[in-house]
Amino acid sequence: MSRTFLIFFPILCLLSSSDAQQVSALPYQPSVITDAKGHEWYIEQNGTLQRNGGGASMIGNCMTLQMGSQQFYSQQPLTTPDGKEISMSAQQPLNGIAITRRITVMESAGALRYVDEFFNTTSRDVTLTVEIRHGLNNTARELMSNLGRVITGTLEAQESGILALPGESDRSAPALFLSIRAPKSGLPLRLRVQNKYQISVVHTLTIRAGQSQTLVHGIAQIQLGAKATPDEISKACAPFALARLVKGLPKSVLKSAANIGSAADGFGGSEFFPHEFWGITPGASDQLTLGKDSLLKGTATITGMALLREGGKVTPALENIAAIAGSIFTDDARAWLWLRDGQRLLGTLESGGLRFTLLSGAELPVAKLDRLVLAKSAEPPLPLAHPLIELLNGERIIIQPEDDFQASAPWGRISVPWSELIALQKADDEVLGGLLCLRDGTRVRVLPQAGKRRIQTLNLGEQDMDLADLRRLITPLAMTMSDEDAEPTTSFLDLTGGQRLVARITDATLTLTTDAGPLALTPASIRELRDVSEDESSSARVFEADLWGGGVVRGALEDARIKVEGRGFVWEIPARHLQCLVNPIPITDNSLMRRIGQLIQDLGHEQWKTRESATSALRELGPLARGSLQEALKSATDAEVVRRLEELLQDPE
Amino acid sequence: MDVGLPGLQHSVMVLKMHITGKIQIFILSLTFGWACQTCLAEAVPLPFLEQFCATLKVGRSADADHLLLNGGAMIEGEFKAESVSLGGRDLSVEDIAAIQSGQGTRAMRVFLRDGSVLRGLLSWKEARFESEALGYITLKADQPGQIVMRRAGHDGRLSGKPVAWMADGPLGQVLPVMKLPEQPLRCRWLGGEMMLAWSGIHSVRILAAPALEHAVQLTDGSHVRGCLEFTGAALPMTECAAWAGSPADLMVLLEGKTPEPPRIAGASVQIQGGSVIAGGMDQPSLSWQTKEGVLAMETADVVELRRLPEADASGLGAAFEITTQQGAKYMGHPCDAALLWKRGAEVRRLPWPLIQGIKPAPNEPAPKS
Repeated sequence: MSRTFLIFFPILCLLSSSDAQQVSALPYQPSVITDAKGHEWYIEQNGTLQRNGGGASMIGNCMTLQMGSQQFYSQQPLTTPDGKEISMSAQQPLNGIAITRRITVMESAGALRYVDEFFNTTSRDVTLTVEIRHGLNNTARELMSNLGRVITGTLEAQESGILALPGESDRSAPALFLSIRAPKSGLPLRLRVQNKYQISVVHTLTIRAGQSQTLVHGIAQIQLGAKATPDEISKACAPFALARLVKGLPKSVLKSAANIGSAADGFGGSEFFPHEFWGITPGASDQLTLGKDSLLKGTATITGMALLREGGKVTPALENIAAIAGSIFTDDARAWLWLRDGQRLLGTLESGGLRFTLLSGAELPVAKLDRLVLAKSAEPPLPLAHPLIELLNGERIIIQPEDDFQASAPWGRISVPWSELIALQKADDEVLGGLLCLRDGTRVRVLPQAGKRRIQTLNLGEQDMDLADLRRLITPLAMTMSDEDAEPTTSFLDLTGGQRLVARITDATLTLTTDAGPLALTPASIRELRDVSEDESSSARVFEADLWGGGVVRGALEDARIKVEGRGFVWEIPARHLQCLVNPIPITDNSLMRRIGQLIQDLGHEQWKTRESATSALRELGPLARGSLQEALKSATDAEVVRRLEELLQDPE
Repeated sequence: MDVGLPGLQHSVMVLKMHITGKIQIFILSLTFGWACQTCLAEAVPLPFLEQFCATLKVGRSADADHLLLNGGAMIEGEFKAESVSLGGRDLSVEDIAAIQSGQGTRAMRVFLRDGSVLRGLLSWKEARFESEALGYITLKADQPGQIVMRRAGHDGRLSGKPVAWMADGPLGQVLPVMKLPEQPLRCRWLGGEMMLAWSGIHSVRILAAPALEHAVQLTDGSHVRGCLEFTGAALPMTECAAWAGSPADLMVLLEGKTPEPPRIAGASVQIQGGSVIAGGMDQPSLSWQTKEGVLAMETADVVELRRLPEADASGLGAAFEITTQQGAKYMGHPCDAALLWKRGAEVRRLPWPLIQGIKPAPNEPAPKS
């Protein structure tokens, strides 16, 4: 992101507000804002919330942004005429970091959303500590997580926010909820709590040179009964989860949001090839543990080793073994065998004898095995060539399946060739099954098809397996593809629960009920359709559609179900599961293509007026004509035509 | 659903008419006969209609219809229409108990007197609301306001006894199920695939996001969470957000709660993800790997089994504590990959890593401590 862009970013953000009309940005002057639930908010010039109205509130001064020891101060903030979007920038970079703060008043939800962007203006990577400080008006009766657990230290894995419950002296005040992160976010988080009175949320960001990261936070005032149960707290906080508050934010902002994305690498391939085994990192020599505190280095020699698995006997060569955990470690007769190719097997160990020669030359017979981690191989490991599956019992086996991968998704069955799979990732605890990631960018929650079948494995022969026992898997694609590689180039739908279907809509039209009446849109005419509903409980979902032909339409989606067809599935998706529909490239019909062709020809017309009018018409068509313009530029020879084509292609979309 | 004849009130009106000739008498006897039959059917409560009226703060009257205009004005009077259809389906005006509009889209909800709620695009001919005070208002089908009809004798009456009720969403359709499908319901869950007899289903509820599957409560107390396949089953709707024995239970389910479930009489196995299956172990013994070696325990001797969460954290596989009839406790890992579990006539293979525990029958004696 260029510095120039950064300066204008707040204004650009305001101009692309949800109403998508040309709005002018106005200087922001703080005043009390009352949301649809009657709660008051007073936003200072730097985004800090102050208690200023007459209503009961737990807000003392909240959402204060601090970087290291420096507090964020803004130059003149700007706002949209309706006062719902406020944008502010630091006067100058703090330690090389330019900060932009964008606040959205989510009036009907009764919440504020903060998007803080940190742009590294330097030529080196910068690690910084960002603190969002919240001072309460009075000491809270209790601080709880969004799941209703009393907070003593920090948030647990599935927790995403802090709820401050009003104390006895402040009984009529609504509880204050701080929405801090998405539960899957891997961003390190620290909480500092002083006497249930001051809460600091501390994030550590590492920002690459010339790049930016954002933090998204939400704050809401919630009316709760004095004796709210954890279940009631969980339900009350759910509408303010960041996943819901981020609706309508540009994809680029979401991608850079450090407290929303997952910490896992791409498709989790590296989890299958760990750098250490049971706490021991492989080194230049073999390592043998004798209980918790003893570790010997040397060379292991094993004769006649075999592992008796439930599915048969395995006799791997010593050079293929990465590590072994024996009965001392497992606390029973079972042993784990980790192979260098990523396989992990469970069974009873048989061995003709294990000797361990120390680096000093002394030899040690080993009767019972704890952990043996063999030296790093001199050869680089062979790349994964087949799917590697993890079963419920923890075993990992390389398989060579022949038929398609079949599974059940919430909307029906899916059947795809194994060559199209990237990974099956373990889903969150509260959902069933796993997240199936396909090469085309599809990510869908599935339960693999149950039933015993014979599957060819790489080196265990044919095995009887039931894929209902499958916990997760990766394929060679997981080792080579990144999330960005799997970014679809064709139509896709983003759905509830982080799911994405690369699919085309087979309904002839989608109907939006606008204020002026129903409007039927062909799916191909839609560039992006996104859920902008503010009321989660409403049955009608409100969507905003950017159209390829230009223009924006906003209205309730009338279709209760949407028919989709993708690789290996034909489903009807309930419209309430749809978050966003994107057609990345325009689908133009023949008559339009002919018209574009004629207009491009007219760029070289002998009449200046015709050339001008063709240029205007092509500019009006915008992205619909882009592909044709690029093609025309390749073969254009006339200097004026080339100039006109280049100018059109330089136009922002 | 059949469009019924008007109910008893209408029959009485017919009686009051001056009837002459055999044809009229024949019509009268047919109508009266139907009315008596309708009266015999047990009246079902109308909780969805009552909920709608409560939202509008309208008490249903015996002698007037109510129209709530979009501006908020409430008018008493009489709704009249030559014909009404919803989603292309003709409805008898006498069968309509209320019309709900203004949910953001053009689709309306029509509450029928038999307890059904339909949703779709409304069209009608000559619809108007007559009021003594205001004359009449011509009603547009795309903006009818909210209409609550007066009470009628056939409120809550169906021409048969439904075996269940189903709904496609909290503000969607509600329909009676008059006959259970013959083919069992296919449920894909963590333990594989399960074919559930419809007669054994107590309730079904779709779970809220991020979970997208259904929770099925069975009549034996079992509870299964999984993906259901309704397509192909001869049901009034292909989408099922809730299924229950009565409209009242259906409403509870649509609120995200569970009506009082049947209790499990015998032992049960708890599965990851919240499923619970009644039944018993279907293998004579359990082969158990303990510190001391492999133990073979007779399943008849096992009272309770509890998963040890600390073993899960170690990453070495599922470990359990077994309690025997004598009160002895053993900790260890199952040697087999799965447990055979019998529910009714069906034996299921349940992978041990999915099992959270086994609980004894509630009335079984507690193990000696």
